[in-house]
Amino acid sequence: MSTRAWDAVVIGSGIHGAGAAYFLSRAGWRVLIVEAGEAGSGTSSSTNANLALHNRDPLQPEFPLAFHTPAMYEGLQEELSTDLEFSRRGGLMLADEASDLENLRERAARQAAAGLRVEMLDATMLRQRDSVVAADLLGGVYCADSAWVNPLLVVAAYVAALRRRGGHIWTNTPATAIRTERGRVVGVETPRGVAATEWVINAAGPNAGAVAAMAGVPFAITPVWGQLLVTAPVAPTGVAQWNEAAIVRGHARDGFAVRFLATRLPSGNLLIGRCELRGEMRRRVIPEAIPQVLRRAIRFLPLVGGLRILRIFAGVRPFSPDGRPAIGPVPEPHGFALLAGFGDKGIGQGIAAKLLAQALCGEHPEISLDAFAPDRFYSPMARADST
Amino acid sequence: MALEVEAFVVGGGPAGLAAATELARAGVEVILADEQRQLGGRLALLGSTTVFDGEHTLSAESLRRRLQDEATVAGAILLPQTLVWGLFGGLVAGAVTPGESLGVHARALILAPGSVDRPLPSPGWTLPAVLTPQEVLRLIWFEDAPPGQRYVVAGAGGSGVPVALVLKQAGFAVRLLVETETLTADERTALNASSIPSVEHARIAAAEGQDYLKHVRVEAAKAEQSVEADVLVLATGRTALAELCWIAGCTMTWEPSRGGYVPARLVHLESSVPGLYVAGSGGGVCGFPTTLVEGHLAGAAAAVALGKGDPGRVESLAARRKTIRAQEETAISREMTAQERLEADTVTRVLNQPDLLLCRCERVPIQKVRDVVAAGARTPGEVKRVTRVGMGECQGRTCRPLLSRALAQLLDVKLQDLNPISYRPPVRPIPIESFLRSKG
Repeated sequence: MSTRAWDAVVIGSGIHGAGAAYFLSRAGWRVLIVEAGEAGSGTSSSTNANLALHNRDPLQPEFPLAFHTPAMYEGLQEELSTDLEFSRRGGLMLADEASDLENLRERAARQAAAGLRVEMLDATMLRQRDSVVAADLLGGVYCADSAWVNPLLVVAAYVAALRRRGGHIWTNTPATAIRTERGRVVGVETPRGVAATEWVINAAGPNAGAVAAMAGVPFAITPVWGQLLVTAPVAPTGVAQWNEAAIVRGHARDGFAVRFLATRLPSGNLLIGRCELRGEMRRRVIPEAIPQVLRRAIRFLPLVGGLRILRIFAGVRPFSPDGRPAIGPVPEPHGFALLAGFGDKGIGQGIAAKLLAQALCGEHPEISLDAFAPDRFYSPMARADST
Repeated sequence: MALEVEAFVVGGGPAGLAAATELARAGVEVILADEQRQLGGRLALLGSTTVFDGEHTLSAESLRRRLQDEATVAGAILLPQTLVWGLFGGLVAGAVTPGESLGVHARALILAPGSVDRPLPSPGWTLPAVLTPQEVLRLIWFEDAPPGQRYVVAGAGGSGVPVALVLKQAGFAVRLLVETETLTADERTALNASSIPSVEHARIAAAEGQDYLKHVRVEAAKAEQSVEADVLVLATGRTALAELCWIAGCTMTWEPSRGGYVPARLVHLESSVPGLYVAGSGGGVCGFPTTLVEGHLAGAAAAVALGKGDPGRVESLAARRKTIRAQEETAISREMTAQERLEADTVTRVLNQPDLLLCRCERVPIQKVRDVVAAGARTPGEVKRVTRVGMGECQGRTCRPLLSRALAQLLDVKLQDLNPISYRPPVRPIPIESFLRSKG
């Protein structure tokens, strides 16, 4: 370890930032989190938090992250002696067009081969699996491995554990500058003072681009706004996550790319989505997007029509330049790592924080991070220089 | 459906009706929305008990009718049963009626949402028929569904007296008025004339009963008494209904003498959001004379901003408002101070009652809040995120100030230094059906 005040400063206390801080502190590092708002108050508090596997394609490079994340949260409950409301509740893909059903079938074969417990369902089997879905759907896929965890409890548990190990979090404290000397990171400037450190981990979510710029690292985040509608509680049914199968068709619906998904929380409330507005950075409620999302939800889950909305909140999904997360050190400056660009799959890929910690500790990450290395964004010259 | 209008008035109580009248008389095209079936705000809940409008004493019903007629005659369009559930950039309001969802685009927006009554916790406060004055009186006057026959009313600084009087006039038995401080001579006279027993320097110790209220235990300096009752009316927590101000991003200030958080307003009642005015108790608890003059002032100021009003009238209304507010200062301050003292004292007691629910909707006991603070939570938002306080049916309307006060006491910080848990639209649960019905 060094003589600096901190071994690492993590910028951002969302699911990944708080996670990285925790796993590094578990390995004996002195870690400070610098958080502009309150712990977990960014994108991690405006998500449906599905650890969805029913909608994941094993062909995607992120698949291993999604596959192994649920077990990690489950293990954390024991490790941290805290109830994180983790459960493997299963998820349903729903098809209302024949072409979608075909796509689901092809993908289900790959999912099964990759070790997921999936069942292909025709219309009758679908209704048996969950009696509340619309009667005229063509079929779907059920995956028993889809899970859910409460991200706010996870962040709070990470932070509490960090503190127990001598780490700290400065809330309501934005990072204002990153100091480098001779091509190395030396500290983070904040209104509370300068945090001298060996490593800076950029886990700033929608602000990761601005934070990267502080270190002279080009990394553009494309913000994609979304909004969730929270209903009054409903009784449990066969499943707790529903997604519609159509992907391409979703973009035809106005500017909001509406596509149905819903999650039933342990408290019983339904979170209903899904809509997008690319480029929108402000977490504001946009009423125009509401009716389309509701209509699509009612098409798949007719019971939604009889419910009431208690709350609407917006969030910003932070997408990296190529849509794949950036996990790992950048070529320069030395000591600056990205843990950002998770887009719309943040909570469900939470193992990334553990993997980054492993990499920074000099271990082989338990899942390869090659596909996520930030140096894919930078020129070969930079890569060659980074020794 | 999208509606474009010059001026939109949110709230059809005395301030809103006065504002709509003022705007319409100045030739402004104005629509007024109120979520209740009957317009008049608190006036519609006071039956024919008497109120003072700044010039005359008259029955609440006569004043209510006069204000509504004036607005109608002036040409304002009045929309009852229309809830404004959110405000979005550029003075756009989301509204919903039982049959339809509307987006209203206005060039000037007057918020006159009035005040809201909040209950304070005590053992048994989750029993059916422990209610606020607005809840009880709406059930009686609007739903014709009185929650019971025998009432105990709790007040602070005189706030319970008008409630007790209207209940009596409506034909119910008011078994006791419990005042935390002292009543004035006039108040005692009025209560005696209506044969309403009262006790001073007393507080509600508990609401008791198995599945519904049976007795109210009252604690006074020397003695405790138990009163049989069907309904306990908690008239001890009146504050500005400021949700739409928060949602609109208005700068808010902490003013305990006016009930708590209020929107910062310029001298002509404009908030920090251009084109958005706040009039009446929604800008800080005030009496009827003030709500009326503020309604006129905001309407007049908005009319001038729209190029149609008379700046001279605005100035004279502003001057009159200043005078009237000064005149009521003592009375309002008496009520608000007593209320603040009771709330602070109640929270102190409640912090030592670990099983008492702080958040009724999500059933979160005090102990849980203490535990998460002990584990490091330092703000209301942090507590909410891990306990669900404020995430239930009432969306924090009851528990938000209680949580802030509890934290202020636990952390020994000033209440106004804690950001209350955030406000999100809709301000009330909205049936999804209403969102989807839209003509055009």
